Amino acid sequence: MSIAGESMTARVKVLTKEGLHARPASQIAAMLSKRDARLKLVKHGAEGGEADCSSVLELLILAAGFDTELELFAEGPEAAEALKEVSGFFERKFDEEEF
Amino acid sequence: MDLAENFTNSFQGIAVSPGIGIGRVMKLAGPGNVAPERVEIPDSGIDAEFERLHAAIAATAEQLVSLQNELRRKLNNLDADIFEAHLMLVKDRTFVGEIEKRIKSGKCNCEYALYEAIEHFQKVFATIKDEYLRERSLDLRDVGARLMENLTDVGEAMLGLDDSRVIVATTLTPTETARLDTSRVLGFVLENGSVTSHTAILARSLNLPAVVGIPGSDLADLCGADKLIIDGFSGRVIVNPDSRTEEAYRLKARAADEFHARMKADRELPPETVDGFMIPLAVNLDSACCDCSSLKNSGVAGIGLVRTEFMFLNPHHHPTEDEQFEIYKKLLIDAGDLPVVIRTMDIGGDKIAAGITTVNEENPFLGLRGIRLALRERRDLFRVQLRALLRAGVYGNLHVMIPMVSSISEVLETRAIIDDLCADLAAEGFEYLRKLPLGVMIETPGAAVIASSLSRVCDFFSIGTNDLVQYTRAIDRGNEHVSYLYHPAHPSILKMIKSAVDGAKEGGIPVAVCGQMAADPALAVLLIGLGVHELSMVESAVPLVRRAIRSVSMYDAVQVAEQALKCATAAEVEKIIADVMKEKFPELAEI
Repeated sequence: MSIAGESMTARVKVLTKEGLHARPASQIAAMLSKRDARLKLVKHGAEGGEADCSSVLELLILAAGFDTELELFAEGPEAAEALKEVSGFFERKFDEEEF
Repeated sequence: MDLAENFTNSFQGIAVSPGIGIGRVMKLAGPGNVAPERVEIPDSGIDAEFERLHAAIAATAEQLVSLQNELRRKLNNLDADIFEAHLMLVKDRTFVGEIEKRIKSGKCNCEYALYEAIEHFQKVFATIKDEYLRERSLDLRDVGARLMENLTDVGEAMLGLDDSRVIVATTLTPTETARLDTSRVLGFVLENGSVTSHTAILARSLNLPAVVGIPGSDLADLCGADKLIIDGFSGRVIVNPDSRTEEAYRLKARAADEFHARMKADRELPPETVDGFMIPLAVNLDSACCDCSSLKNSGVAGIGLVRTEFMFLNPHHHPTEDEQFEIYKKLLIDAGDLPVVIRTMDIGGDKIAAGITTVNEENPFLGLRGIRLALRERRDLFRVQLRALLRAGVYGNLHVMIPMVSSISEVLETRAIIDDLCADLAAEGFEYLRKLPLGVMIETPGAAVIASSLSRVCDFFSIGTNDLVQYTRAIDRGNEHVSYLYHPAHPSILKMIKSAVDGAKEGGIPVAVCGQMAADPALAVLLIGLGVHELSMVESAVPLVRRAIRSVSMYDAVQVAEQALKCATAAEVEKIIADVMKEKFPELAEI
């Protein structure tokens, strides 16, 4: 990312069986809407791609299934907080109950 | 000279709900439905299209919020969070951006741009390898359909109309049908569907005619100016009839209405054959959350099938034991003394499975479905449901049945789980039903053939004819290419039913039919002749079936069944029944 401001990265992993589906994707987008930050999620490899975390649709199309490793890029005044919040959400298995 | 002269034409489809509907066309467009018309928009009109788009987005968002609230209420406060995701999706930057881009670069109307955008994203989703994530394209489709509805303003347009309309569509989702203002619907003409599809079931319960299986190419030419006659008895659809044809159909419609009014009037009469055999008639419920307090005094003998799949609709939250307990308890209290047969979760096959199973099946109808899924894959959910049922059982006349049984061991395993749960409940000090009547759905040929053994390990049978036909005749009931083989009156089916009835007799247990077959008055006579004790059906079918039963003797019915069992084809069986009904219940042929 080239826009001025703090740029930070973090590595996360999808820990739920259902992957990054509609509900967690919408929760991530909702987190971003409250922050003055831009967050990009990058999936490496042959089926890789990237998604702007403020778009549910882009997050869904990224197709991050169970066990996918991803990289987060954050920038903007609240980059650090946004990064921490979203990576924490990944670590907490999207706050989902296991059925 | 009248340039806009309408052409007269007619199509033949499959009649799935009886009745006559006459009126102008209301075409429902949407993703998965007919592609909307592409309208060229001049540069000066682009801003107005943007405005329409954003107004529709705002309206959709508002509806999603109220739908979420409504669903929370209906589901007894179960989690309705999936709409939260839909809400985010409808306002999504990338999604809306794509539509705007297409309006601008394509100089076209919103509807078409939306249609194209959905098609575009569907293609992207189709390349996703993970099946569950790939299916999230359904969420986008659903949102797209709602947005389209607000753009084309179906609801509004229906309200603003001074006349009622015939709904024409490629296919209708349960959500779409649920949102129609049915007081302004005269009937349904669809490309896809079958006698057991959602729209057909709804149409029958609303007493509206429906015809399916009309090719999309025929439907494409219809527009709002066209007038249609739908004949839900014969499956004929007539476009722009001449005045003589229309008059003839109006007479037929009136006769049918009067007949139904008479049917309703004799609801006080018992469903008894002329020689005094009482056949209990029960009703089917699509959800345990239904209000059934009105049934107590309606002359029905009970609730013969309560489906519970609906509760597992939300992939992110499954109802807890307490939530289910409250739902079942209310249902049982509302039903009073009437027997209530609740079917445990029948998930898999074509029934919702999102968030419940990750098993990828090439042939789900022959896969982990019903009791198989409950015992092998989601025993956790099954135990929770059975525990809730056992606890609620003390509040009414509860019976429980298990779907998709094909072996004795499935019944024994279920019994073992129930015994185990009873021991737990007793130890924990809960009140629970000590002797839970456990029934088996007979819907696979295997179960029908081993019925005599099954009857020794369960308390009752209920024959699900829709699936029994599907599995016996090896036809996918959603596949229109083989729907010509879908004949409940086929001798192969009758022999299966006979085997189930004989098996039940050996074990000394009762046998009911809860499939579509029981709702057909002529076939109902055949069923009682075969020895079925009870018939369970959609509530609207009760009056006609009662009338049919009251017009024959058990002797007639047994004769019909005996002859039918000797037939080689469905056509022969149908002729035998038609001949008897013509003599005993002549009005049936007129409607």
